[in-house]
Amino acid sequence: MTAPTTRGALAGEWVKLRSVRATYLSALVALAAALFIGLIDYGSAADNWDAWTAEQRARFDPVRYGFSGGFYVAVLAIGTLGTLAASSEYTTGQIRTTLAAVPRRGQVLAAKALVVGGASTLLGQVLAFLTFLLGQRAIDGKHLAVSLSAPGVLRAVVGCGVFLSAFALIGLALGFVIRHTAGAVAALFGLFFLSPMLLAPFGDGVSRFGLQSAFEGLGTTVASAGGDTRLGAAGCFAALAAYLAAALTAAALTLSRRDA
Amino acid sequence: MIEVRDLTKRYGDAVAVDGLSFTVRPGRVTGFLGPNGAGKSTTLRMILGLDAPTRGRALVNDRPYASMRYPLREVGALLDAGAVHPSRSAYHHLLGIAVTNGIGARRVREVLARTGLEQVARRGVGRFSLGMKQRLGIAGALLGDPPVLLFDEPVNGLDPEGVHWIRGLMKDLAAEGRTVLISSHLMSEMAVTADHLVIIGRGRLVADQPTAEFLGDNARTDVLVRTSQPAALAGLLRGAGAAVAEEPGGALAVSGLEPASIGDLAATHRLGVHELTVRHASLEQAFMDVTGDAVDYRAARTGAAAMFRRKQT
Repeated sequence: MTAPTTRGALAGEWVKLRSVRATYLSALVALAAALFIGLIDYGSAADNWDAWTAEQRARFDPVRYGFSGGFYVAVLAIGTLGTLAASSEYTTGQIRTTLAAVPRRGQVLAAKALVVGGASTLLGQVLAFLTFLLGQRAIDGKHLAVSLSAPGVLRAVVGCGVFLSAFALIGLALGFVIRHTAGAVAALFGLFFLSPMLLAPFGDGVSRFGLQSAFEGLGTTVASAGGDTRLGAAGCFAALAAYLAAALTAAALTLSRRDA
Repeated sequence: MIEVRDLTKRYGDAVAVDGLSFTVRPGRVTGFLGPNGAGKSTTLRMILGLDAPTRGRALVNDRPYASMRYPLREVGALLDAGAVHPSRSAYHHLLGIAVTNGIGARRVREVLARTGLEQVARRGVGRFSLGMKQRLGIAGALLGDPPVLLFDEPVNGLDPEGVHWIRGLMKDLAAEGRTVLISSHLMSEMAVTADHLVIIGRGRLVADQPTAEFLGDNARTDVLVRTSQPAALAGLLRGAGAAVAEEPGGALAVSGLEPASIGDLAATHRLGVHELTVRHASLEQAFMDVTGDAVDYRAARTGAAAMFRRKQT
């Protein structure tokens, strides 16, 4: 019986991930966009709160608000980071060296998934919590801030971070399937933005299973802010897991069956 | 030792490698020779378990490559020197490969030293010249100090000094008792580097023999003779058992007789000889002769030969 992966394969993937500029660049872009744009958004909400209509106020979700603007850039940046971990191997030809060093291909996929998953989980949770905590400070003056202990808040913050990890892994899987950076990144972004639209013809109930809808559902804490049209947290996590499982299965099949 | 048995690779209707069988033995440099597109790289990829054969198998030290726990300690390979991430440093490129097989940073520094890359180890390989990338690829192959080494076109893009260095390294590696297989489309390069030749054309084996033997069997020698009376001398030479062909300008191409005998024969019959030149068919010509029928060009044979010569320049 073959080990799912080896310590050596993990170490190799970790060296590769930390030794390219693109990794740091994606992380920096994600951090800067989520925090900078997030703070501006919260600031303008605090400034304009007094002028908002009752309806606007009812629709204000103090948690989801931080995950709706600059955080999208973070989603795409972390997704790109994951995609590149696989696609750049094919674009450069490095994959042959990688597979010659670790001929059991499943071990390469598992090692990459664990390393990318670990890095994006750390990054994702830091981003999600910083976005939330800094945002709440900005609206505290208007007494709009909620605490992590309020119902559903911790789950929403952690969930948005988890989405980042899962999205990076879906990107990684697409990189293995498509074997080309531009194509894989385009497919990943397309899947995120277009999946709700592509599912829309099957009805609102189905379009809630789109990837972007699942992300929005995960960050939602106020029902009147659109929560009633989205899947609940459990549904969102399940949808996300389904996307992830499908993508990783496709990657495993492609990697094991096609010539390198 | 590398054993290839009935190895075949098809892509749809096209056959890249066709029932190839040969054995690469330790202690000598084996040249894996063939025109571009003959199936050399495909064969190497199948040996390394990267491409799945349609039929047949390749074994390295009696085992399929993919079954090895630490393959880099058994087989080192340079496939494509350009296949590196441009923003990764040479050191990290090698470290990323090394750690997968339990090889440490100390060995990475050793191979960097052996390939003369210490000074540029921390530089991104995107700024490396092709020659430096070849050295990096060779450093990667040496990481596990393996008994079997495969190099795909290692002298491509190297300057004369680099070519000289590679030749020396290959011979040293073989002298240490390792199995060394080098692919090339350059007959002249293999003639000075390889002890043994495996030659393929259109995916099929066309020769598997010691380099010296191959050259002896295939390199024809003849004597170019210019004389004032070619018809008369040709008759005399044929009478003496030589084969004579007329060349443009009235010269005779004579084989089967030594230059001294030809000169003596002409002198006995008082025929003036203007030139006697021993001609050795070039190695490229010998290579062309054996792969000629197998070269995958639609052009006539002369056209194919011209194309092949052009590719080398």
